[in-house]
Amino acid sequence: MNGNNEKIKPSQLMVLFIGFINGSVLLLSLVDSSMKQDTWLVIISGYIVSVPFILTYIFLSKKFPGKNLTEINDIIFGKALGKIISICYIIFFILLFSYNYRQIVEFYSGYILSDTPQIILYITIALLCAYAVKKGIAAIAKVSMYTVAFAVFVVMLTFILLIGNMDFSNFMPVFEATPEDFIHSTYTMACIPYCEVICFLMVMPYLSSGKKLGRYAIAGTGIAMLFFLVIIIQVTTTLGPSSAIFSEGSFQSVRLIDIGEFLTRMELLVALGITASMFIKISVFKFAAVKSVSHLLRMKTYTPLLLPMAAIGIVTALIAYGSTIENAENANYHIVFALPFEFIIPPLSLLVAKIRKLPKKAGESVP
Amino acid sequence: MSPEGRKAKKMRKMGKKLKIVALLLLICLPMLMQAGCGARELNELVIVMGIGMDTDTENPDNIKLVAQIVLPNNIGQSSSAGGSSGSSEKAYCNVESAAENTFEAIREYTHKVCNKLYIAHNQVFVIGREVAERGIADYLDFFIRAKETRPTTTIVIADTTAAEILDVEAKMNLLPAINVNKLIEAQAENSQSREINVQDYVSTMQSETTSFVAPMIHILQEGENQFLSIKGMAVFKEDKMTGELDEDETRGFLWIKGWIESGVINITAGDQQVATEIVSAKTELSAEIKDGEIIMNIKITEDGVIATQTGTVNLATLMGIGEIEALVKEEILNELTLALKKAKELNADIFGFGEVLHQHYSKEWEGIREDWDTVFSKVKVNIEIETNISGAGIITEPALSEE
Repeated sequence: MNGNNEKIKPSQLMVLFIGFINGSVLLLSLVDSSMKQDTWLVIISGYIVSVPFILTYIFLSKKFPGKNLTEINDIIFGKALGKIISICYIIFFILLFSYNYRQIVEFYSGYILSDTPQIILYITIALLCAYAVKKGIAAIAKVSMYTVAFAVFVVMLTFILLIGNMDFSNFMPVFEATPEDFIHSTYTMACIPYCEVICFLMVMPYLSSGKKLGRYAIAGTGIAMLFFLVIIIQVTTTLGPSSAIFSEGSFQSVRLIDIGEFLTRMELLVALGITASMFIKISVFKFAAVKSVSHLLRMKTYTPLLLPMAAIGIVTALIAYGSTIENAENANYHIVFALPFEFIIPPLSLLVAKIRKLPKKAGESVP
Repeated sequence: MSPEGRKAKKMRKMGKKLKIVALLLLICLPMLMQAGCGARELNELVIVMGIGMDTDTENPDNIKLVAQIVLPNNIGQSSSAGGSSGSSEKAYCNVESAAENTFEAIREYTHKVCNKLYIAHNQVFVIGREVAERGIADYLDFFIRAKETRPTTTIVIADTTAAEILDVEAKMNLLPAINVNKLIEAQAENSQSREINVQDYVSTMQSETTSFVAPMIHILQEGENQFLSIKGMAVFKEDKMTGELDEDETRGFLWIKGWIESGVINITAGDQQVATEIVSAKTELSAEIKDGEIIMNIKITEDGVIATQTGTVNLATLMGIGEIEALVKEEILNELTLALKKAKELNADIFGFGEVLHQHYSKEWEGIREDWDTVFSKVKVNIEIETNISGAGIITEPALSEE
């Protein structure tokens, strides 16, 4: 009856990874505005940087099978410190899903439903995601299969329809960006789309088996990267240097489609694709957040937390920043804020676990 | 059944009902927000098909917009009347509005028409000559920023004022704006002008060196009748129009950009006139820096057919074709030279030479970009043209032949 505890297969996890990472597609234009024609390089280098960290997360969950992030923190850092770290993670997850609320709402009110009061959009997306989380991670994983399929369809279709508008000389000159910009953007790419999969540590206990988990995770992230590549190739070749000034390059490039004055205005398809992917992303974040809170409070089920969490998310999203212009600036602070959660604590956990010779075998008590 | 069991059953039933209600709510919410907010009913829309930009004669600081608004009620009438002119039957009306900036001018319209302008269907921006010479960036910014504007909306520069252009009655189409747009599209057949849209404008403005060009539109007076004609292109320095390319110069420009799709090349072989049709054309543009000298290599491959010839001597022979190919080559070279000369005269890098250099010599470019304006006129150009006549239609020799 209640799908809360249904298990998912590692292959489903891979699809969920793809859907989840695709949810960050709006971020690409942020990177694009500083990297211009070199954005594709950053997408690849960001992936390369992320791989060891994602493997760290997987390794951590394999070391403590059946345990989620809060439990792992408790075991590794002890009850008190572990709780504090878990609370920090909860704040991190809440921030992440509320930023994403904000992003999807701003996208909608900026491009599609400009006269609709934003609060209506917030409530709709929050309720939708709450409903998905209530149905459990297995349900989200199943839905992600369709959203990924839809996103592939949209990306391929728009890519093919835009081939006539493409000018591959727009990729030249390669490597024009300054090294600082390159490092900054690579880090942004690693931090926001790829390494946000840290929240999947809350999902791992729902896996039916841990076999080839690392391979599936890396493959999922890799496919998502290919996805980004196709999108950015389309944007760079069609918009050229002007992609840097449009706040949504992928959306703008699709607006160029005009085949025989018949096949035009395809941007709604893109909007639907973005919505679907972001829905998956927000749902997974929300799942991670409510799951960890329910663990912390020792609740049997997280269902009662869903609506309060949605409310907290909406309020956080509303007060997070003042304008879309501030948002771009905000991303630069966010990546610093995310540093400990994605790049410091997980490797540190592994190190501490190694030093303390954890996990202890059954029978031994944790000091 | 025990009372507890019945109670549990009842509870479960209620839970189910609640779920259905919640689901319905979830489905209804998005519907509500789409229909309820900011919906514009079709009969209230003020659909704009073309926007003209002129300077205000009364106050030179102002911008004057001309919006061509569709009158849907008259569309059926005027077509049944065979398009005969009569001001009451026109399917459009041009409404002017002047204000300090574009957005204000657009909103000024609410004083004159019953609703906000709906510009999502706008087909064309007609920019008056005076505005073009003063600079177009300030006026286009609003439209590029507005999400309603299609990036594929065409831009055309009027030889006179935009208001006059948008007032020329269209013979083939109901609305002058659509007429203008169709005319621009048809230019691909002749390659003496070219369609330029808002996205082209944005891309060009992103480049530091490339000059913007846009098709020119003229009014031809033939007795009582007025016709529109698109010929040549306006050349911009940054956002200000500084000159014009005539038909031949435009052709040369399009050759270098690789934008030739079709067209006629006329040549004279001896005392015979031959017109060849361009079937396909390809241009490769590359840059080279040799001993500090910048050389642009232009390689053009043209494929054409004989469309017509005068005289009785059959030119569709191996000998004749060889001669024609050489003459076509000469003609293309002539067009290229004209375009290059004009561009250097105007000191406007309409070909995007700077960008090509930037793409292939990004290190050297750093030193050049600052004074590209002076460097551009000294750029050497290597031209290599290959022409090929691949056919002569469905006859092998003229009907009236010598033999």
